[in-house]
Amino acid sequence: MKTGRKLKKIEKLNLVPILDSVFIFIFFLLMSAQFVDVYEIGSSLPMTQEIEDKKDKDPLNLTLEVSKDAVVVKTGIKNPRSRSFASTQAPELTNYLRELKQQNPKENTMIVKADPKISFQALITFIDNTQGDRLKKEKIFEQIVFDNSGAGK
Amino acid sequence: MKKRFSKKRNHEAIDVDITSLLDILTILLVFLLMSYNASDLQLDLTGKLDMADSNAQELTKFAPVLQVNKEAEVFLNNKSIGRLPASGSMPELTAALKNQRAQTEEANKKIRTPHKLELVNLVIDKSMDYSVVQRVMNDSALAGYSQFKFIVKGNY
Repeated sequence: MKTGRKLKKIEKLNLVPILDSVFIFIFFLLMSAQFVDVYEIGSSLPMTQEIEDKKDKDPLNLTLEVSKDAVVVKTGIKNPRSRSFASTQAPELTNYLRELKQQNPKENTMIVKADPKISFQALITFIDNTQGDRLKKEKIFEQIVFDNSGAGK
Repeated sequence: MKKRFSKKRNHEAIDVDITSLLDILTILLVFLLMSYNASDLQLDLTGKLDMADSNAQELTKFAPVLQVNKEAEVFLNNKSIGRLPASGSMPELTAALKNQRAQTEEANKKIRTPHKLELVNLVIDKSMDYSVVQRVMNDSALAGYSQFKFIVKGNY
Protein backbone atom coordinates (compact mmCIF):
# COMPACT_ATOMS: atom_id res chain seq x y z
CA MET A 1 0.00 0.00 0.00
CA LYS A 2 1.37 3.38 -0.94
CA THR A 3 0.90 6.17 1.56
CA GLY A 4 2.23 8.93 -0.69
CA ARG A 5 4.87 9.88 1.82
CA LYS A 6 8.48 9.64 0.88
CA LEU A 7 10.82 8.19 3.45
CA LYS A 8 13.35 10.89 4.32
CA LYS A 9 16.95 9.82 4.40
CA ILE A 10 18.86 11.10 7.41
CA GLU A 11 21.91 12.73 5.97
CA LYS A 12 25.13 12.60 7.94
CA LEU A 13 26.62 15.94 8.90
CA ASN A 14 29.88 16.67 7.09
CA LEU A 15 32.21 17.64 9.93
CA VAL A 16 35.42 17.67 7.89
CA PRO A 17 35.57 21.48 7.22
CA ILE A 18 34.77 22.40 10.82
CA LEU A 19 37.37 19.94 12.08
CA ASP A 20 39.94 21.47 9.73
CA SER A 21 39.24 24.98 11.03
CA VAL A 22 39.26 23.82 14.67
CA PHE A 23 42.66 22.20 14.18
CA ILE A 24 44.07 25.41 12.67
CA PHE A 25 42.56 27.44 15.51
CA ILE A 26 44.06 25.12 18.12
CA PHE A 27 47.48 25.35 16.49
CA PHE A 28 47.27 29.15 16.49
CA LEU A 29 46.19 29.24 20.15
CA LEU A 30 48.92 26.77 21.16
CA MET A 31 51.53 29.01 19.57
CA SER A 32 50.27 32.12 21.37
CA ALA A 33 49.47 30.52 24.73
CA GLN A 34 51.13 31.93 27.84
CA PHE A 35 50.76 29.81 30.88
CA VAL A 36 51.94 32.53 33.28
CA ASP A 37 49.81 35.67 33.24
CA VAL A 38 52.18 38.57 32.78
CA TYR A 39 51.14 42.21 33.16
CA GLU A 40 52.89 45.55 33.37
CA ILE A 41 53.00 48.54 35.71
CA GLY A 42 54.02 51.72 33.94
CA SER A 43 56.29 54.37 35.37
CA SER A 44 58.63 57.07 34.26
CA LEU A 45 61.48 59.18 35.55
CA PRO A 46 60.81 62.82 36.37
CA MET A 47 60.98 65.14 33.38
CA THR A 48 60.73 68.90 33.33
CA GLN A 49 57.77 70.48 31.60
CA GLU A 50 56.78 74.10 31.17
CA ILE A 51 53.35 74.80 32.59
CA GLU A 52 51.23 77.92 32.82
CA ASP A 53 51.58 79.69 36.11
CA LYS A 54 48.13 79.55 37.67
CA LYS A 55 48.32 81.67 40.77
CA ASP A 56 44.84 80.94 41.96
CA LYS A 57 45.23 77.21 42.60
CA ASP A 58 47.88 75.36 44.55
CA PRO A 59 49.06 72.36 42.46
CA LEU A 60 48.51 68.97 44.09
CA ASN A 61 52.14 67.78 43.74
CA LEU A 62 51.24 64.43 45.31
CA THR A 63 54.34 62.82 46.76
CA LEU A 64 54.39 59.47 48.54
CA GLU A 65 57.38 58.71 50.70
CA VAL A 66 57.56 54.97 51.21
CA SER A 67 59.61 53.21 53.85
CA LYS A 68 59.47 49.59 55.07
CA ASP A 69 56.43 50.05 57.27
CA ALA A 70 55.12 53.56 56.77
CA VAL A 71 53.92 55.90 54.06
CA VAL A 72 53.88 59.68 54.22
CA VAL A 73 51.58 61.39 51.73
CA LYS A 74 52.56 64.97 51.00
CA THR A 75 50.47 67.42 48.97
CA GLY A 76 50.64 71.03 47.91
CA ILE A 77 53.48 73.48 47.29
CA LYS A 78 52.19 76.77 48.71
CA ASN A 79 50.36 75.14 51.60
CA PRO A 80 52.12 71.82 52.10
CA ARG A 81 50.20 69.16 53.98
CA SER A 82 51.23 65.67 54.98
CA ARG A 83 49.54 62.59 56.39
CA SER A 84 51.18 59.41 57.65
CA PHE A 85 49.99 55.83 57.36
CA ALA A 86 51.34 53.01 59.49
CA SER A 87 51.43 50.43 56.70
CA THR A 88 52.11 50.40 52.97
CA GLN A 89 49.04 48.17 52.57
CA ALA A 90 46.65 50.21 54.71
CA PRO A 91 43.17 50.51 53.15
CA GLU A 92 43.00 54.03 54.65
CA LEU A 93 45.77 55.02 52.24
CA THR A 94 43.69 53.96 49.23
CA ASN A 95 40.66 55.78 50.62
CA TYR A 96 42.71 58.94 51.22
CA LEU A 97 44.03 58.82 47.63
CA ARG A 98 40.44 58.37 46.40
CA GLU A 99 39.46 61.51 48.34
CA LEU A 100 42.36 63.44 46.82
CA LYS A 101 41.36 62.26 43.35
CA GLN A 102 37.78 63.44 43.92
CA GLN A 103 39.08 66.85 44.96
CA ASN A 104 41.52 66.99 42.00
CA PRO A 105 39.91 65.02 39.15
CA LYS A 106 42.32 66.40 36.54
CA GLU A 107 45.43 65.21 38.36
CA ASN A 108 46.66 61.71 37.56
CA THR A 109 50.30 61.76 38.61
CA MET A 110 51.89 60.67 41.84
CA ILE A 111 55.55 60.92 42.72
CA VAL A 112 56.97 57.91 44.56
CA LYS A 113 59.99 58.44 46.75
CA ALA A 114 60.86 54.99 48.04
CA ASP A 115 63.39 53.86 50.62
CA PRO A 116 66.23 52.12 48.71
CA LYS A 117 66.15 49.27 51.23
CA ILE A 118 62.57 48.11 50.60
CA SER A 119 62.17 45.02 48.44
CA PHE A 120 60.84 45.18 44.90
CA GLN A 121 57.87 43.02 45.92
CA ALA A 122 57.01 45.46 48.74
CA LEU A 123 57.12 48.34 46.27
CA ILE A 124 54.82 46.52 43.81
CA THR A 125 52.38 45.65 46.63
CA PHE A 126 52.40 49.31 47.68
CA ILE A 127 51.72 50.43 44.08
CA ASP A 128 48.86 47.91 43.87
CA ASN A 129 47.39 49.43 47.03
CA THR A 130 47.50 52.94 45.56
CA GLN A 131 45.74 51.97 42.34
CA GLY A 132 42.35 51.07 43.82
CA ASP A 133 40.25 48.20 42.51
CA ARG A 134 41.85 47.21 39.25
CA LEU A 135 39.24 44.53 38.56
CA LYS A 136 36.67 47.32 38.39
CA LYS A 137 39.14 49.33 36.25
CA GLU A 138 39.25 52.06 38.86
CA LYS A 139 41.80 54.75 38.14
CA ILE A 140 43.14 56.94 40.91
CA PHE A 141 46.62 58.34 40.21
CA GLU A 142 47.67 56.02 37.43
CA GLN A 143 50.79 57.86 36.28
CA ILE A 144 53.64 56.92 38.59
CA VAL A 145 56.81 58.96 38.58
CA PHE A 146 59.81 57.70 40.52
CA ASP A 147 61.91 60.27 42.30
CA ASN A 148 65.33 58.65 41.98
CA SER A 149 67.36 61.56 43.25
CA GLY A 150 70.54 60.15 44.71
CA ALA A 151 70.38 56.95 42.67
CA GLY A 152 73.51 55.56 41.05
CA LYS A 153 75.78 56.67 43.86
CA MET B 1 36.08 -15.08 -6.91
CA LYS B 2 38.46 -14.02 -4.19
CA LYS B 3 39.55 -10.98 -6.20
CA ARG B 4 36.00 -9.79 -6.71
CA PHE B 5 35.29 -10.07 -2.98
CA SER B 6 38.26 -7.93 -1.98
CA LYS B 7 37.28 -5.21 -4.48
CA LYS B 8 33.84 -4.96 -2.97
CA ARG B 9 35.34 -4.58 0.51
CA ASN B 10 37.50 -1.64 -0.58
CA HIS B 11 34.45 0.38 -1.61
CA GLU B 12 32.84 0.21 1.83
CA ALA B 13 32.89 3.54 3.67
CA ILE B 14 34.37 3.33 7.14
CA ASP B 15 32.10 4.83 9.75
CA VAL B 16 34.29 6.33 12.48
CA ASP B 17 32.69 7.69 15.62
CA ILE B 18 34.38 11.06 16.17
CA THR B 19 32.23 12.22 19.08
CA SER B 20 34.97 11.62 21.68
CA LEU B 21 37.53 13.39 19.47
CA LEU B 22 35.21 16.39 19.18
CA ASP B 23 34.77 16.42 22.97
CA ILE B 24 38.53 16.55 23.49
CA LEU B 25 38.93 19.26 20.86
CA THR B 26 36.23 21.41 22.45
CA ILE B 27 37.83 21.13 25.91
CA LEU B 28 41.26 21.94 24.44
CA LEU B 29 39.81 24.91 22.58
CA VAL B 30 38.17 26.35 25.70
CA PHE B 31 41.35 25.86 27.75
CA LEU B 32 43.51 27.55 25.12
CA LEU B 33 41.06 30.41 24.68
CA MET B 34 41.18 31.02 28.44
CA SER B 35 44.97 31.18 28.43
CA TYR B 36 45.19 33.35 25.32
CA ASN B 37 47.20 36.53 25.76
CA ALA B 38 46.96 39.30 23.18
CA SER B 39 50.29 40.83 24.21
CA ASP B 40 53.00 41.18 21.56
CA LEU B 41 55.81 40.69 24.09
CA GLN B 42 57.62 37.36 24.09
CA LEU B 43 59.07 36.84 27.54
CA ASP B 44 61.71 34.18 28.21
CA LEU B 45 62.68 34.31 31.84
CA THR B 46 66.26 33.64 32.80
CA GLY B 47 67.05 31.29 35.66
CA LYS B 48 66.98 32.29 39.32
CA LEU B 49 64.34 34.97 38.81
CA ASP B 50 60.99 35.15 40.62
CA MET B 51 58.69 37.80 39.23
CA ALA B 52 56.86 40.06 41.66
CA ASP B 53 53.16 39.29 42.25
CA SER B 54 50.65 41.98 41.47
CA ASN B 55 47.00 42.58 40.68
CA ALA B 56 47.89 44.70 37.64
CA GLN B 57 45.68 44.20 34.58
CA GLU B 58 47.53 46.06 31.83
CA LEU B 59 48.88 43.89 29.03
CA THR B 60 52.57 43.97 28.23
CA LYS B 61 53.90 45.71 25.13
CA PHE B 62 56.88 45.09 22.93
CA ALA B 63 60.09 46.75 24.14
CA PRO B 64 63.62 45.63 25.09
CA VAL B 65 63.51 43.32 28.12
CA LEU B 66 65.95 43.96 30.93
CA GLN B 67 66.13 41.23 33.56
CA VAL B 68 67.89 41.21 36.92
CA ASN B 69 67.93 37.90 38.75
CA LYS B 70 68.50 36.95 42.42
CA GLU B 71 72.26 37.01 41.94
CA ALA B 72 72.15 40.55 40.49
CA GLU B 73 73.06 39.29 37.02
CA VAL B 74 71.76 41.60 34.31
CA PHE B 75 70.33 40.32 31.01
CA LEU B 76 69.25 42.44 28.06
CA ASN B 77 66.99 40.51 25.68
CA ASN B 78 68.28 37.29 27.27
CA LYS B 79 71.93 38.16 26.67
CA SER B 80 74.04 38.41 29.79
CA ILE B 81 75.57 41.84 30.37
CA GLY B 82 77.31 40.99 33.63
CA ARG B 83 76.77 41.33 37.34
CA LEU B 84 75.48 44.58 38.79
CA PRO B 85 78.23 46.16 40.95
CA ALA B 86 77.64 46.50 44.69
CA SER B 87 77.24 50.24 44.25
CA GLY B 88 77.44 52.84 41.54
CA SER B 89 76.47 52.64 37.89
CA MET B 90 77.11 49.87 35.36
CA PRO B 91 78.64 51.39 32.17
CA GLU B 92 78.31 48.04 30.29
CA LEU B 93 74.54 48.19 30.75
CA THR B 94 74.32 51.77 29.48
CA ALA B 95 76.46 50.85 26.46
CA ALA B 96 74.33 47.76 25.68
CA LEU B 97 71.13 49.80 25.97
CA LYS B 98 72.51 52.53 23.70
CA ASN B 99 73.34 49.82 21.16
CA GLN B 100 69.84 48.36 21.52
CA ARG B 101 68.28 51.81 21.03
CA ALA B 102 70.29 52.32 17.84
CA GLN B 103 69.11 48.91 16.57
CA THR B 104 65.47 49.75 17.35
CA GLU B 105 65.86 53.12 15.60
CA GLU B 106 67.22 51.32 12.52
CA ALA B 107 64.45 48.71 12.61
CA ASN B 108 61.78 51.42 12.98
CA LYS B 109 62.72 52.79 9.55
CA LYS B 110 61.61 49.53 7.95
CA ILE B 111 58.30 48.99 9.76
CA ARG B 112 54.96 50.77 9.52
CA THR B 113 54.19 51.04 13.23
CA PRO B 114 57.46 52.02 14.91
CA HIS B 115 58.27 50.84 18.42
CA LYS B 116 58.66 53.36 21.22
CA LEU B 117 62.31 54.30 21.57
CA GLU B 118 62.21 55.43 25.18
CA LEU B 119 60.42 52.38 26.61
CA VAL B 120 62.10 49.46 28.39
CA ASN B 121 60.54 46.47 30.17
CA LEU B 122 62.06 45.68 33.56
CA VAL B 123 61.82 42.16 34.97
CA ILE B 124 63.37 42.24 38.42
CA ASP B 125 63.50 39.51 41.02
CA LYS B 126 61.01 40.24 43.78
CA SER B 127 63.61 39.87 46.55
CA MET B 128 65.89 42.58 45.16
CA ASP B 129 66.14 45.91 46.93
CA TYR B 130 64.62 49.04 45.42
CA SER B 131 68.17 50.46 45.26
CA VAL B 132 68.88 47.90 42.48
CA VAL B 133 65.78 49.09 40.60
CA GLN B 134 66.90 52.70 41.05
CA ARG B 135 70.35 51.97 39.63
CA VAL B 136 68.97 50.02 36.68
CA MET B 137 66.54 52.87 35.94
CA ASN B 138 69.34 55.39 36.25
CA ASP B 139 71.61 53.47 33.82
CA SER B 140 68.70 53.08 31.40
CA ALA B 141 67.95 56.80 31.56
CA LEU B 142 71.57 57.52 30.65
CA ALA B 143 71.04 55.46 27.49
CA GLY B 144 67.91 57.44 26.60
CA TYR B 145 65.23 55.18 28.12
CA SER B 146 62.97 57.31 30.31
CA GLN B 147 59.85 55.15 30.44
CA PHE B 148 59.74 51.89 32.33
CA LYS B 149 57.31 49.04 32.56
CA PHE B 150 57.66 46.69 35.50
CA ILE B 151 56.74 43.21 34.32
CA VAL B 152 54.85 41.40 37.06
CA LYS B 153 53.01 38.13 37.57
CA GLY B 154 49.25 38.59 37.47
CA ASN B 155 46.27 36.92 39.12
CA TYR B 156 47.69 37.54 42.57
